[in-house]
Amino acid sequence: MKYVLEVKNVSAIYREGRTEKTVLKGVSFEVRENEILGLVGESGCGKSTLSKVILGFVKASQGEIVHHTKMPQMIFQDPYSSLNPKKKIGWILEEPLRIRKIPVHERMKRVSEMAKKTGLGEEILTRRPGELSGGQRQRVSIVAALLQGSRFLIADEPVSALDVTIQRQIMELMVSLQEETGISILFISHDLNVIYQMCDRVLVMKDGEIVEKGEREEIFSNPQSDYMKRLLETMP
Amino acid sequence: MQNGRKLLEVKDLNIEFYDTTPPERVVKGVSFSMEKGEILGIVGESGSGKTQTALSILRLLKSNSGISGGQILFKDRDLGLYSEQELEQVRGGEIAMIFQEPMTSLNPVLTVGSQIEEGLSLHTKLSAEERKRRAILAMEEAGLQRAEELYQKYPHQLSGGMRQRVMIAAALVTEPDLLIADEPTTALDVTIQAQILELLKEINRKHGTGILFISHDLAVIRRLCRRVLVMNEGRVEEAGEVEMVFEHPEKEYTRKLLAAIPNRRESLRRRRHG
Repeated sequence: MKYVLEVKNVSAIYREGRTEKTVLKGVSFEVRENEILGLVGESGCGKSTLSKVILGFVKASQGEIVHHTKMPQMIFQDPYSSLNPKKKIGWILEEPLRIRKIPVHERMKRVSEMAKKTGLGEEILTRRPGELSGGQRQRVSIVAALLQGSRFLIADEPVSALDVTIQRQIMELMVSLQEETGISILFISHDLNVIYQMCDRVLVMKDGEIVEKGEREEIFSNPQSDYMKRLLETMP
Repeated sequence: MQNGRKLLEVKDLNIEFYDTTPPERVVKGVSFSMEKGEILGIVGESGSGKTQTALSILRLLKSNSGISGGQILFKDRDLGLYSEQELEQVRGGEIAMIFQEPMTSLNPVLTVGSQIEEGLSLHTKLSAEERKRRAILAMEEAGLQRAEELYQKYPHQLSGGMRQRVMIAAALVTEPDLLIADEPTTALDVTIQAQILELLKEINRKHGTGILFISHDLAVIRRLCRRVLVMNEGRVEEAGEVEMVFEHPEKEYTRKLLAAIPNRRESLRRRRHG
């Protein structure tokens, strides 16, 4: 089995004055090549901290993070804050290619191909982030992540702020892009049903610990932890 | 249907935004009614007009928008004919409202207790002692444990679920006939969400409080309401018993909405597992 990421016995602590709070407790898992791995849990369970530790924004107090590919790209709940409001979408999307010194005609070609493939019309490229809807902005951030050329994405609640019909479109888009490119996605969500529809394998987190880990069908039809059983009951 | 059973009647409501010329109509001829003690759901996506409809009942629309036609009858009284002062007596008295993010409706520098009592100070002549007694009762009813202790606390000292319970206590303390709840569980975790829905049901059962429940979440609506209106682009697309609408939707839009709800029946993954 080939991995893009290995997380080995990782703990993390937040300090507030003299008090310490352990937010991750000995977390271990792997992200395989060519899979969507779901991470589900309620607010405060440590799922966002975990993504920060993977990216190196928060230091692990113990354990080891092994990357087997380039640093993952992030997709957030509201991409608005990560898109430069003053620049046109085309410029924003070309940025990573510009840094890699890819010639201008090649840049434009790749951006417009990708925009077409993700259902963003070419006319979007001349607009600014403020002129787009939530669903369009999320498409832009997915395109931006893919253009970076990373084989591993971390998507933190990418569809939580969207209306159901738009949510569905973005979910379908992410699945089809994954299946086409074979990249890996760590898909973080509080919504069990979204996780069910998107993922191959699932991690369930509670209070900084992984309480359940395995193939999707196994976890949803035969949960072992009381916590997962309760979640399944509360979410129709 | 007997007239005396009607709690709320909205007839051919139109709401416009005045930012543009000509004004943009965001609610277009919406009509519905609620019986006393009923829980009615309004479901729709952003921009469907559901929140504007709810806000217009208590004339809480922002200054750049307004009602441009129609009638709102509450217990057979035309709220449109009420002066601002008269309406002030209805708000937080006979009709109470709770919102998605309680932190924005709670005053950060006032104690929880004083905010729950506010409705009583405005609408009754009860003594301070009696107000406190009723506030504590309402807090207990809203499922807040150690109510005496919480009474002294400030909003930031509470969790999101507790703040929503405080809002519910503040809404209930005046024993309203109608509670308008605009996405009250949207910002909460699923387990807390389930508790708040149970609480609303319990309140409805016990006091016969009518609840107009606005949400984008069809699963939540299904759990709580008997009847539902599906709104889209300012219009009522479809209305009826929740089970009927969910099992046998008549309109294309409703079908699309239902099909998009995340579920555990259908995976989007095409490839094989294992």
